[in-house]
Amino acid sequence: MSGRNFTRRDFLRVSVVSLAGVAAAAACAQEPEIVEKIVKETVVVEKEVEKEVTRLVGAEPEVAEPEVEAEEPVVKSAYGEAPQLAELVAKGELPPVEERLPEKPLVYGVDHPLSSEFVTGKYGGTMYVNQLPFGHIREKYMMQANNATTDIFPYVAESWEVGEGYRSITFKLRKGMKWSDGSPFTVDNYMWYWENECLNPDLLPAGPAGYWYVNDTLTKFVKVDDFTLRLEFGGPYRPVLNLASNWQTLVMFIARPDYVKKWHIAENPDANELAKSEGFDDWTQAYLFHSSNQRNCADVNIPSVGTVVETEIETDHSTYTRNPYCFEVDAEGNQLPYFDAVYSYKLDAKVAATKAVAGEFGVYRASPADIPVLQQNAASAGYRVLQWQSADGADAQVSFNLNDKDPVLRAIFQDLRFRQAMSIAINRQEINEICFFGLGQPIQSTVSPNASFYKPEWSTAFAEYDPERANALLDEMGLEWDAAKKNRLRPDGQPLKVIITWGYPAQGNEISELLREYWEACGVGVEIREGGDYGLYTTKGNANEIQVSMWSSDRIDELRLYLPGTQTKFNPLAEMFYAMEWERWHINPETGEEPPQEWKDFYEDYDAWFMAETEEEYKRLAERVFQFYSDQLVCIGLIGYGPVPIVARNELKNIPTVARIGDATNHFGTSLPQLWYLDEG
Amino acid sequence: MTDREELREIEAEEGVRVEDERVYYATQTQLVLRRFKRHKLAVLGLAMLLVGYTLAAFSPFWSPYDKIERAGNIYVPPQRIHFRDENGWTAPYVYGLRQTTDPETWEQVTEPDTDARYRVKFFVKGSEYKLLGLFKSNIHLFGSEDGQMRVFLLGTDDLGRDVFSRILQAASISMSIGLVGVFLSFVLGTLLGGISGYYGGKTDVIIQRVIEFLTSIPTIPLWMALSAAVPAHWDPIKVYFAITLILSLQGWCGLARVVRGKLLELREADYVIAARIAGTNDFAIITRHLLPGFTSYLIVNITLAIPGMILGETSLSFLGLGLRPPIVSWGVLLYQAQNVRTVALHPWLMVPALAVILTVLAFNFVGDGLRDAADPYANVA
Amino acid sequence: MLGRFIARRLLYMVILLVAMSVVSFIIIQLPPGDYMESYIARLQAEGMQIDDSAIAALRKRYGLDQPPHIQFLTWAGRLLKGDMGRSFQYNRPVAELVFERVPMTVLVTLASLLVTYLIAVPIGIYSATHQYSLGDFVATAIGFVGIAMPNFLFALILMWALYKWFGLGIGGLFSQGMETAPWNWAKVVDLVKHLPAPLIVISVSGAAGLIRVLRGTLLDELGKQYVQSARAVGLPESRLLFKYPVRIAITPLISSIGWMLPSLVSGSTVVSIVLSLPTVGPLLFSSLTQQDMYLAGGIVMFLTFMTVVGVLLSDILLALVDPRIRFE
Repeated sequence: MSGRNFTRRDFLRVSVVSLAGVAAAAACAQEPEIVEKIVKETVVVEKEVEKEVTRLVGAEPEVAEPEVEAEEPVVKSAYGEAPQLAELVAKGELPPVEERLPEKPLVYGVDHPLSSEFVTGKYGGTMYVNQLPFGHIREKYMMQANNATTDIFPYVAESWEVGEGYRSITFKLRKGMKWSDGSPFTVDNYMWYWENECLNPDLLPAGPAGYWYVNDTLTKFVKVDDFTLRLEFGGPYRPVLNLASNWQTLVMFIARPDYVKKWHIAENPDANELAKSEGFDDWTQAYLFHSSNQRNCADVNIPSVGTVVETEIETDHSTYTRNPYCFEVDAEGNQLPYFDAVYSYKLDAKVAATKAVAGEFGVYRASPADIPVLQQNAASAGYRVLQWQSADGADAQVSFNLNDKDPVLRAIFQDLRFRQAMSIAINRQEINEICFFGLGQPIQSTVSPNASFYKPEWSTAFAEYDPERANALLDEMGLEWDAAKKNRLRPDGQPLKVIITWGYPAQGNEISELLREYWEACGVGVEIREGGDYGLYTTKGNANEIQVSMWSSDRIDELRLYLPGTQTKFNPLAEMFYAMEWERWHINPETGEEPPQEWKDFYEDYDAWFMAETEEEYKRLAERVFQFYSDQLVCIGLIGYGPVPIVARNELKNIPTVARIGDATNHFGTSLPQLWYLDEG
Repeated sequence: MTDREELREIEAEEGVRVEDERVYYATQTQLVLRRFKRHKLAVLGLAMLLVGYTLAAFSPFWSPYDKIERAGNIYVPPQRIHFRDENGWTAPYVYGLRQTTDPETWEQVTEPDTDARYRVKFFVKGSEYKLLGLFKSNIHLFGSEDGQMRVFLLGTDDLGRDVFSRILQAASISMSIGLVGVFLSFVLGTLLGGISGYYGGKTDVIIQRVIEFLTSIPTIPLWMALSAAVPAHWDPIKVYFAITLILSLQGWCGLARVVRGKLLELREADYVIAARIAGTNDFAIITRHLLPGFTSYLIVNITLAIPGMILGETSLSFLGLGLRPPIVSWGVLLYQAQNVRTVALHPWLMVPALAVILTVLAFNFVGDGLRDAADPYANVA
Repeated sequence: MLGRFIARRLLYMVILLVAMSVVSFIIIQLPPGDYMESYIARLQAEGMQIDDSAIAALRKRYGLDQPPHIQFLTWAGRLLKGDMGRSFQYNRPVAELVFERVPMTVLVTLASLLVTYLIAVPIGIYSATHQYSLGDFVATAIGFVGIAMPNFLFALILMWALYKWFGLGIGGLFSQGMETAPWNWAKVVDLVKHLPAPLIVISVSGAAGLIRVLRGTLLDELGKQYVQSARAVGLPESRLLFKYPVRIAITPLISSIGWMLPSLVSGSTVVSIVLSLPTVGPLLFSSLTQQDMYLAGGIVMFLTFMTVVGVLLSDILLALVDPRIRFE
């Protein structure tokens, strides 16, 4: 229709922008009544304008129902909302949608570009999932990256500005944004968290975490106005943009609603009594419970700014429902999310896999091994299997423990030739064929190719299959064969044997069995242990009891690597556990063990990297750091960027056909589940 | 009709044993055997066990390949052995395999390659092994004529290993874990049960309470705690013994109860009192006079405890607490098979369950037969 | 005399509970690490680095920095006051979490107990009255297959078969969407549809043992004089069977309920995990793997309490039936 060139959304933006100034002025005057009045006026104006638009264009957008419109005298709002919420509004139990939304909501397709695949959705339906794979839709951070992690877009923050030389950052919050209980969301909520949690000696006896210190100076939180927050650092702090747009670093930018104040001793002198009456020992425990935004650990009633809010936390499931105050809208101005509720099971992986095959989840990330059985049942169970790609640089990688408790093994592992030999003894192509349907990439573990400082040779270093050369390297090391020529001997005469403890991926056992075959062909005996549950695996690792670890390598995107407060898999304290003692020394020279000189040099580069002031320095140091990892083969990659089958119900729409998935993409997060909808009709 | 025939008829009608005379003069063993034989299932069970343990003991010989040997073909379904070709009956042969990956479903499709025929030969040379840990050999009962991995009676698994060979070689672990575990239970059970029953009084009370206490500890946390306590660097053999220990920790209690009950009954028997008056020491009384009195009960109890251990091993593996590769036990095999893709696409990987079922059934049948036979003078309904 | 007997058993019950609390605490503490360690590990898995000092603070807050015996005394002291503590994982009182799952646990347990009897009693009677017949062998064999089948695999296969052939959902006791629905007739029907799978798996493994006991006792009874004479008098075979021998043979089964209840609860854990039943077993398992020690301890104590009460009840029952026991 030709009359629709001027869309409702375009109009809306014009009207909102022009009115924003008025509201802002009112807010500065700090006269609540006036603000309220202006908001109301704004609404009225918008409503009238909308009416005008509707008449002018003469067509109703797809989302609205014309019959209802015709019957009810109520003027159609500029924004769309779910029928249930409209009902509540009609009953007077909820303010109208334009009062619930901030002045400038986050408009997908405008503030955050979308691929042409996305269409305007329909309200309704319940999403069934396991272990809420898109947790961030109830936990929000300042900015949001795209699925390729090459760009960042506004999220909670409407805009941001990095100060001179990365010495400060200023976030502009959304005026009029509200918590899910309707209370205003302002800079005060951030200040409260900073002052009463981070700086509270009862809650955090050791003070704020290390990443708040730049040049040993504590970061300053400055409230510029109700909607402007400035962070001032003690020096250049280049990673700050990454910090503000990563879900892992959510813990750094936390806003607390007023709701939590009554459990805090600073606000409520009787907080201890209140805590005891609720069955806690003291106020800190009660406060932690009521304020925590950790899954499973929260008070259901805590307000949030998420797309959905928790309604139930049970031992076998949790439920979530739409946040009536969600600040995100689609390109047509419909408040998100589309689905009414999320039902999240807490199932054991094997049961979940079975349920997924039976099509009982709206969406589910399956294991590659299950692709055939999923395909076999997809048609009859009513789902499709999307083939996404893992964003992980290694779906499986192994590390030799350079600080192993056994001094003889440690000396062998520390010999670079040994690690090189073990790496080229591996037939990566065969692992790819058997465990990944040949769809992964048989490459060495390193940074993602989309990083600005990536070098292709890092992906190929010692990744070829050359058992002869591997044996030659081992011979060169002086590891003699035993009499039967079955096993090589250690310098102390014992047969050379290593234990692989695998924690991840799901095919870890099969991969370990293959590794055993490859390594035993070079005379290195192998035993395999299953690391077990995550906690069990890391407990073993932290106790330095793992000789050869196996995990995946995620967080290899530039955006995720360059985060001082988080760990990549190249950090020995993370799941690879390859140089625990040295890393401990690196953190605090009074603990752990002193590393050799080349490692000390490396640590210097590494630390300097995070303090880099110029782009040039940043790149130069990054190259040095990753060259070192590559040379040292600390993490021996097997297969990277493998296939990830995504089970999606046929009625689930707007889920991308192809996407990357992994830690770097915040799992489903950057595939924007808030825009997914269920088309049951 | 002769008198004798008449007598037989009467006997038959009355349900009295025909050859009572023989019964009166038979030894205890003969009686037990005779009765045991009447329990057809028990006889069948015993035969199954004999076959099973023979297979397990010489498993490397019976199985064509080593448990970790990999063929190039993964997920091959159980293969047919052909005895006929276009010319009629012939020496057994198998077809070669052609595997393709379905481009849509990524499923491995296996088809026989009818152009390639391989004779199944007996006593072929293959991977080297040590029989019973003593004799080196590389002769396998059967295999392909060209010495390659081509015959897969029960198919291959996710890495292309022969399921048939793995089940056989796992048998030696699984079937012995029951024996070792039960031996431990037996020693503990008879010793403590014996002391408890023979001395009675305070000793009895204490031991009984300990038993009740042990049996009321919920199994799962106990297993988890003990498995976690097994050091990570232990080699497979040590872990194997640790697992048997864990399994038998609660196992001995039942046996101790039986022993105690029987002893309480027997120690008041006239012949025991006579022995005591004659000045025989306690140890001699227990071992010479009391134990023989209920050996049969012990045997029954043990027979019935073994299958419990075998199943316990599979449960431990299920919980991720049991034995681990490279040890291959039925529990380990089933642990790898318990997922939806196996049930839906590769059911032959669940065949180890059949081995477990048959073994457990056999032990139960034998146990039942022994129980019936244990008291040879008991009435027959 | 009976009063003294009960008093003695009660005293013993208390001692057992105390001893059990110590042992369960040790068992739970035996695996290396504690909840904070696995909690922090999970945070780290999500990429957050937690300072050592923050870890220490968390430990201190939850008393995990105390030596084990102090931790135990604190826990036991609270237990005496009826406070089972809070679960770390769910941050809710343990009692609430456990008792939330008790109704379904009791339902599944009692129902499977019933099914066990329904399977075991007829087979037991049949195989005792038809000893060594083909029917005896077939019945026993069927009964024993239940005990011989690794139950986790049986559960998985059954679950898949029910889905493929009857379109029943995978696992759980309710269809999708029914879990949170308020109780009504449709929900009850839904529950009844989902019960057979767990009941079959749990019952068949318990049935074999009962068949054996029943068959044995009944065989003993049938050989007794009074049966012979009754038969001589010409009493009909069915009446002869059910009047006394069967009743006597069933007594030990009933008195074993006390022992069976808790073992059914913990014994069915494996099945419950596979079928993801909302019962106590899977909760215990997850609390143990997560090292949620108060929750695990609470459940272990709860199970022990059930065992002890069950044993007490069956002892009293036995004492009532068999006067000799009182004088033991």
